[in-house]
Amino acid sequence: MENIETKLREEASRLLLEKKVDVIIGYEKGTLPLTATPCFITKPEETEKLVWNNFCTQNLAKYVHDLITQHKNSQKRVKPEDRKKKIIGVVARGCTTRSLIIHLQERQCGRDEVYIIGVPCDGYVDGKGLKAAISGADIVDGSIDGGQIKMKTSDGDKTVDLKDVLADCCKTCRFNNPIISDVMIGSPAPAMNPDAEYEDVREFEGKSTEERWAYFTKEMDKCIRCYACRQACPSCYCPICFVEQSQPQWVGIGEDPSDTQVFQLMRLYHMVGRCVDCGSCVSVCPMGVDLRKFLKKIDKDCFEFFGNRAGSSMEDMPPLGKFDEHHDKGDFVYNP
Amino acid sequence: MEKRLIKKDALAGIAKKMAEKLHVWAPVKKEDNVLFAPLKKDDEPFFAYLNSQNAPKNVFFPHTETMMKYTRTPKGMVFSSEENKADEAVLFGVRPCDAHSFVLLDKLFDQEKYKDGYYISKRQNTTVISLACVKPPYISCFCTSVDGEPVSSDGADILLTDIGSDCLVEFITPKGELLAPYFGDTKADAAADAKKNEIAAKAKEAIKSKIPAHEIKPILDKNFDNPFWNTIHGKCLACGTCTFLCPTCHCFDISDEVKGSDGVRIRSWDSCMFPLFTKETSGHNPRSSQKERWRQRTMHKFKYYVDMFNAIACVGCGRCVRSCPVNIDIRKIVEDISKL
Amino acid sequence: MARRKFATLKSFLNYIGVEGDRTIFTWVSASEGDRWAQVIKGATEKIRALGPANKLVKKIG
Repeated sequence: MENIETKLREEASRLLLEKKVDVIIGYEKGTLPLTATPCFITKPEETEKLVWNNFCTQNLAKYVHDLITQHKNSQKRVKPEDRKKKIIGVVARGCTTRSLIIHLQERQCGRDEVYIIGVPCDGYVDGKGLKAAISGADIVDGSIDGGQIKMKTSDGDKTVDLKDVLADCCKTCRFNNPIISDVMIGSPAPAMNPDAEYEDVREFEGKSTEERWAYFTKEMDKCIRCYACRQACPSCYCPICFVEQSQPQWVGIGEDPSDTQVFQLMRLYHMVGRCVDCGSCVSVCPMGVDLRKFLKKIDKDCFEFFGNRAGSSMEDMPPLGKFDEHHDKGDFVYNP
Repeated sequence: MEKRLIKKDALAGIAKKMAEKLHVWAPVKKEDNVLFAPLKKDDEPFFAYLNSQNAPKNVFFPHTETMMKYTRTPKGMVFSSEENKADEAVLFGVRPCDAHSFVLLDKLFDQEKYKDGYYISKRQNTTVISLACVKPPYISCFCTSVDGEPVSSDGADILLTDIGSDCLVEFITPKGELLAPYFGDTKADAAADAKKNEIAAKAKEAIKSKIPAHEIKPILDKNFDNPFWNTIHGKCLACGTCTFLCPTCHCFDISDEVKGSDGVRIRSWDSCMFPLFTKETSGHNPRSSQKERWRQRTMHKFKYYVDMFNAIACVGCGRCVRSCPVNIDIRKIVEDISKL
Repeated sequence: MARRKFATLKSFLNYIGVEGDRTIFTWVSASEGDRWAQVIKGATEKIRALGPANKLVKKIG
């Protein structure tokens, strides 16, 4: 990874110097041990901050969308001939590029407004999983060494295998290398284990209706309605989310279980053909709600019904934007 | 007040015994999280915890609370208030930083100008039992910078301190003393007291994370329009994690929910990070972007609260530091402000 | 396309534990009066067999 970091910094610095991009969205070291956090780089000398490691969690496509929207809004009152173009560079792994493809397919930005610095990815560490693996101890210091995370914790020295604490979405990732990029740093990462990606969903499908409902309600009971999942999601970019519709109100703002369930249900369902399984929503959730169990089902249906994997190809159309007369199944239609 | 000694492993038993008669809130391990929750019959309290994921403020100031109910009848509206409906309760085993947060919340909800019946009734009917941090739980703890201490009885009715062999029980208030029968009858000697003081001094020393929280007030007074405020919010997701997990954040929103002829008025937590926060009926929002929202959060904690109540509205528990999805660190913000 | 949304919604609701028979989709033309009656009859029977819906329903008061 060291090598990739060096090349990444060089490339980022070159892009800024040559004014190919106005800003680069990447990751820098966090203030806590074993963390990385999104950062925005506008000066070549700041590129030294950039890091690329297994703690780079967030899907940065979200910020690309934010910056483009802000820029577009700032240009609204400018005469068309005087409008400036802003090009956003982004450090992108496989899932980030999938989200960018979705944005492009949904006409959220032009391909020339984004400069994709592709990086290979061997998965990121699930912070909550890591914490659970060390029985909730506080990490005082740590490093990754030869596939192992070595830590000093409040409970003594601990070592865990990196592959054991990777996020679930990374363990079974199918697209861990960028699908589209303007420049590629490093060589492609080895494949993960995509054959197992629907194992959890299949197991859950095998349960009874009441068991499934019990699990859904149990998970939703954890939710504190902080909306971190929605905010972290690159596909959740509605200017006003339905839960924030207040005139009239669509969903109650309180802790009533049905309100929380409806919020989550509608957000999850809004992800048909749009969830790239980047795991951002899962990683940001402060309460550890198992959102992936439900999102992965949507992904599976989308693939099994329509042969679509969200954001996996620039040539695809959004699956809910088309219809295939010959292959779409009709068994959901009720015929008395 | 009186002091006693109990066996260290007796805590869970005492909490469960209390739960037979009283409404007991205690840290409970739920999957990978430790949460403050009402202790139900088969729950095992978990006192070997660092700190809970959620702040115990929801005991006094629940996420969602019914303020009143109403029904439309042919004779007009019938109202019923939900104020003053609190059961006798015990909050068992909160960390001193969280107990400190109750003192701060009291200043707002129980003040001369305004008395919040919903909060006060729960607060008055609840006995707070603090569990001292003998060893600071996290490297992100910074209570000593914001008028707290890892071993402190601030905000507590009873303070429990693990002094090695035994656990020292100090009854701080008369309300706490009412629960004395639950804590055996071994009187603590002067040696136990000395040991506790030694541990307290050591624990205080062990808090390494320090922020200039008191120094920034005069700087904030003068720097409402400083360009510095452009530098914090860029990566902020605008989620409510920091505010919802914060022990002192207390902004709320009131809404009516009606179905048929029945309605309830509820108040639920709001967050200054949300786009609906301070949005006016006209659709205008004076805090239009995350920049203003972050300024509000920082100012509220380190300036407005000091102006109003002469206290910083932060207890240094570090929950926001640890749980922020994008690592926006309040310690760094305060540090940066001090250099303005 | 609406039918793709229906297909995924039905499947998803079933997955989270809302009984499959509660979500019913079909196409009826304005000219198919008899079929319309059949659909409603069938749907009513299915729902009656399941009993009242309590899931995702908000209770106030």
